[in-house]
Amino acid sequence: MSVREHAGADPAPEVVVTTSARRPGRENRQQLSNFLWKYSVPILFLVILIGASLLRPETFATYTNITAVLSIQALVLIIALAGMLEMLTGEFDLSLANNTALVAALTIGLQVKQDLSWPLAIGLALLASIAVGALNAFLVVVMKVSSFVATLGTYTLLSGVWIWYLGNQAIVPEEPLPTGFTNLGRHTILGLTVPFWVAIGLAIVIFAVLKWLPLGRRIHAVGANRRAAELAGVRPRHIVAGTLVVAALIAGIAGVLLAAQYGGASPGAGSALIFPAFAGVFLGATTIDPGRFNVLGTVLAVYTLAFMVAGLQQLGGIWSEAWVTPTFNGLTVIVAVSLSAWAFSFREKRAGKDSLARLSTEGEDER
Amino acid sequence: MTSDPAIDARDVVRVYGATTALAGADFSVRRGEIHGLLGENGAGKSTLVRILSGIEARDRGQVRILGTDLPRHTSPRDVMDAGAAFIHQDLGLVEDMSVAENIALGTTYVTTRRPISYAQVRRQAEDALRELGVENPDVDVMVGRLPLASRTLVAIARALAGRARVLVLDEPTAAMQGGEVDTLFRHLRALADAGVACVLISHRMDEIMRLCDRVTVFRNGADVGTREMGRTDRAELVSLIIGTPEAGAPPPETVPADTRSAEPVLTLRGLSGDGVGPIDLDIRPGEVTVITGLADSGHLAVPSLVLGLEPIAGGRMTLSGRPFAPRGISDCRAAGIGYVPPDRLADGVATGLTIMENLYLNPARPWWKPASIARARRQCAEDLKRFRVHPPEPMRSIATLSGGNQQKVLLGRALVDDPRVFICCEPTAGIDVGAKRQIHGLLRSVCRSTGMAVVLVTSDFEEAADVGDRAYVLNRGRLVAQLSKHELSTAAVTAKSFG
Repeated sequence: MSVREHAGADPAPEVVVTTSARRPGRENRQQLSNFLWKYSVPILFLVILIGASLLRPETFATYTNITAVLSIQALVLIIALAGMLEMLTGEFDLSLANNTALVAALTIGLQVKQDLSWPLAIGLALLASIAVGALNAFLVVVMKVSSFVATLGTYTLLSGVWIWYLGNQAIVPEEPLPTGFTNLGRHTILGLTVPFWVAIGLAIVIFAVLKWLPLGRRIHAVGANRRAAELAGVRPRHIVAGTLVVAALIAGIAGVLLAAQYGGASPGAGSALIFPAFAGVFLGATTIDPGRFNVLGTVLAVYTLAFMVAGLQQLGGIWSEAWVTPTFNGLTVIVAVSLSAWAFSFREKRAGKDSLARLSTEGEDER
Repeated sequence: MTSDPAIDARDVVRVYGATTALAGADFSVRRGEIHGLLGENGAGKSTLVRILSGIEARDRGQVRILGTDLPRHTSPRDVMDAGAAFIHQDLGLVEDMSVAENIALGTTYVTTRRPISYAQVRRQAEDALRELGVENPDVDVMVGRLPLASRTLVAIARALAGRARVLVLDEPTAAMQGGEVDTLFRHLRALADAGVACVLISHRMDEIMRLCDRVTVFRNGADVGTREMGRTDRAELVSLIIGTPEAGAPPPETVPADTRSAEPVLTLRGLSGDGVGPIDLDIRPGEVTVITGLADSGHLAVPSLVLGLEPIAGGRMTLSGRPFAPRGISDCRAAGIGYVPPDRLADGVATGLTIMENLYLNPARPWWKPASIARARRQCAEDLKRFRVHPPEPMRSIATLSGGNQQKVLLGRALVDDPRVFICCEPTAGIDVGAKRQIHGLLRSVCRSTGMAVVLVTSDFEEAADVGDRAYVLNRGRLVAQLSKHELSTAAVTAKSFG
């Protein structure tokens, strides 16, 4: 194979080379814009940290404040990681945070109402979350219901279940729960609570699985082109069912931590975590590995949103009102996702121009 | 005005980059005749249809339809207004709507600045179907419940309701049963007698000979002859389709004697299902076995059966002498069968991923066994060079590669497992000549150097003749010929596949 033949067969790289040689300025600009896209969320994160610290040095830039935000938002991060895992396979799970709420209610309720020991209560509550995941998997994989509709069903079903179980009343234990249990939510290591470390541990495990294990490759393959994955020997149904169950279990773990944090249970506590979690997942997909749901992006995005809201609340006045948090979470996601979609299509258009031109000229002949 | 031909196309040229799809083709159809259009895959028939229908512009030449000159860049709307309608294999009907509603969709709902008049909608549909010779048409039945021939008639009726006087039918019978074909042809004849010109594109020569008044044969982008049906025969048409075999074709490569007589690694005995069969096949190591046929012949269904993607109706297979009944790709992979699906974009490339992720889409290791990214990247760069992927950059997005290079990645995906049997479907569909040559070289070299059994499933007869050591030709789901290396030529495959 001579060099000339190579070039003749594949003109695309040739074009790339000549363009960059002729126009170094454009190449540099492109590299800069790629860099900005890739690190947009980390940059935003730093801007918020520095900005808020300058504006409110006495409240925001304190050790207590920073560790408090990191610890309190850990549950959001855990749910976000579960949601990200499912979205990587192309499925969507609305029931995640309701699963968290159910497990929180069960963990407390089984101890207070059924007088079970706390490890047994946790075990049974987590089994319940796995059962919910299995139900989702059954509906999506066996009954072939779209995951959005199926989990909308389980989402609603779960709120019915906890209202029934709690009698629509909060459980406030008369005597304090065992410290071994409450420590799961309140004990601090290096100033950060157990839930934070659990979230970071989960992030590391999921990152490692996705990056280094064949399982992670298969999850990516199923999400990128399910039919191609199947024809390469992946069993997409197994992968999808597995991620739905594992994600449900992760959401359940968040429920246990939530129960331990509050030491009590009230109907629906935890179910609102779904919104900041999904906001984090989508915002995370615009950064680090743009266009793809990724662990590091999710972690950074969840905390960027958290610190942004915390900073706004500390500005006081109108910024601390109740409508601020959801409004800003929503706006950030809308803006970030739209911008990245626009940037992605723009870049694709530029990169794919040559190959599109080729596609339209070659092979359109009768086949 | 009435003496104008239905279709009069002169000296039509269409060039795609380096390929000339139409090189000055003439095509003329009279009013009230049924005119057949014949030619091999790639002879230019589809390009002509796309140009006539206004989907595509021509580079040169004139097209007149019923006396209306069509400009070079015309639109499907203009062609429709000129009085021509095109019935494609995908009929474009809405299955959940009634016959009357489907016909009304094609024209307009009959209204007079008032709500839709369903009585008139039904009457219009009945009139159109009666013109086709359908007696007592039931226009309230849902289209989804009709057999294929009747659906085709609905599509034709819709065209007639839109005042079409020229009909072009692109392979209307490809998916039809024998009885249905008769029904359709009876109505087409009635239509022609009423003065409508019909153009019938088909690979089935007996149908063309039975129905058509005249036939035009295309070869290499030009018309090579138009014949009155009464004054020609099958042999003449076949020789027109094939043309004179090219002189100076490369001499067949000699196959090493030791692999020549090798025991087959994969055998099919009486295998049937998915509209093909029963089929007997032997796949031998160190050989490129070609399975080929015209577009609707069912050759692409054979790998689906072998791999367990489609249910097997009858027959059996053996792999290395042992019974083989896979339940899907993962079984095949475990048994040492590699597979490249025919539709590169839909079934092969995972567009959002990198080249490396695409090459190692489903690593063969157990799910829990980690891999070193650095080592994988080095290995990937090597593999990409081996499969001649350009540029060999593992972390590049696969979307930025040309079609030919994407295809090489897909071949590589199956080849990195070192399969014993490598089933490769339409590997060069829609890719440029250089990449095509490289892929052919790759297929031959893996076959010769490793003794792998390569199965090339292709609709490209030239490719079949160039790469194959042995070819099986299918026609309408049946095996009609087995050609050994010295019998194998483009002309031989063409001759066997028409009929």
